Amino acid sequence: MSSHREEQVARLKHELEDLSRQCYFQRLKTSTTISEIIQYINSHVQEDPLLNPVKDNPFNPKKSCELL
Amino acid sequence: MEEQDLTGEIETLKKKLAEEQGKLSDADLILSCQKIEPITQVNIKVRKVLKGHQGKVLCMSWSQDKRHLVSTSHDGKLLVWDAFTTNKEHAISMATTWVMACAYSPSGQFVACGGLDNKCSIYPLLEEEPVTKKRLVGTHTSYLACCQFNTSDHQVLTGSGDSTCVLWDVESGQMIQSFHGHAGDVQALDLSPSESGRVFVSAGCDRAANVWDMRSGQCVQLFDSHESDVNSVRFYPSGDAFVTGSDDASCRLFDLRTDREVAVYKKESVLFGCNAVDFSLSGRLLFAGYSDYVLNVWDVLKAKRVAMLYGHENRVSCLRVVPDGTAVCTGSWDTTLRIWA
Repeated sequence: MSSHREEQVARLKHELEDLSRQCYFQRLKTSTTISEIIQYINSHVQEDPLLNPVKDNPFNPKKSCELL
Repeated sequence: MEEQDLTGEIETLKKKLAEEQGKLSDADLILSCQKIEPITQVNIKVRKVLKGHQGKVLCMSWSQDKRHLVSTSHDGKLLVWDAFTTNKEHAISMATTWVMACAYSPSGQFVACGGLDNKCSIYPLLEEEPVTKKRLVGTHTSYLACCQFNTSDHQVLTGSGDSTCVLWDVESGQMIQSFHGHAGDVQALDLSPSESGRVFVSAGCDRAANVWDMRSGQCVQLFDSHESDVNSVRFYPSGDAFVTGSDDASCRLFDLRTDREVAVYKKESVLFGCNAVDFSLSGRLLFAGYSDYVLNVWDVLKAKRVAMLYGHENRVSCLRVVPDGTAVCTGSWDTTLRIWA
């Protein structure tokens, strides 16, 4: 019974430590990070094969002329 | 300190944390994207159907060669496929049913897997009889829910129903670091693509997603806005954010550097739980597999669904985009895997 209680106290102490650390986390403004998320997409979207299909996608069925 | 005092202090800190997180919120992702052109057409179809499992497909993982994949099933089998030809190259029978986790090693020479046996085991694929060369990496006190190699073939990160994650040394089977903080079964984990080997995220039945410092073992960030179990988690390709899929029928995008949820992907008509998520190469498309058999495709910037892909005849349990972004593979309780492109 007492060991169960000790475990519970240890768990709570651990959670308290995590939370105090998380409070001091250095955060950026959402305006900064959101524009970077959008920027990442803009600079990679042209080469995204599921948005701009590539001609020789290896998973697509072979065209009939290639079989001949 | 007494339990009551601790609980009180925890509550105070939680409020303070929420305040701190709100302070720097000066923009909204969806509003910021209003002028961006919407996606009008998604031309994705089923290209291959992989048949061979005799039970529910529970997990799959792509090889870095962008051609082979490993899948595991409720039938206790692990299969390695050539996804171009749909041929099975290896079939390994496990000593357990419900093989819920599998991962291809970075070199392509090994696969790791486990499930209700509570164990993470590794099989070398280049040997003639991989099953006889099995190596035990680590054991949890409950089922193995997920596993992933950490940057090389030498370390494996596992998540378990015992609510912990553990980083293991493959060669010695020694625990390198353990990660305590979840208050329920861990269901999924993903390693940061930008902070490789230093940061990973885990999610589970406590409705939370935890971000971990791999070296110290500390939980550095916690996101708990989901209303039910979180089943899947995947980093945004830049590594600055991650997405989660939950039994609450929503997917959520969390931004690491602002420490906030920045988008929710849900719809009134989407009622069933989401079991698996992944991004297209650019991060613009979010693929999400649900218990109502559908693969939904979301526009990440507009939080709008742009396609519903039908094909599976039971719940979609796992999915992964090929490393080069050419296709997405889904696994289902209907016993098949499908490749969409």
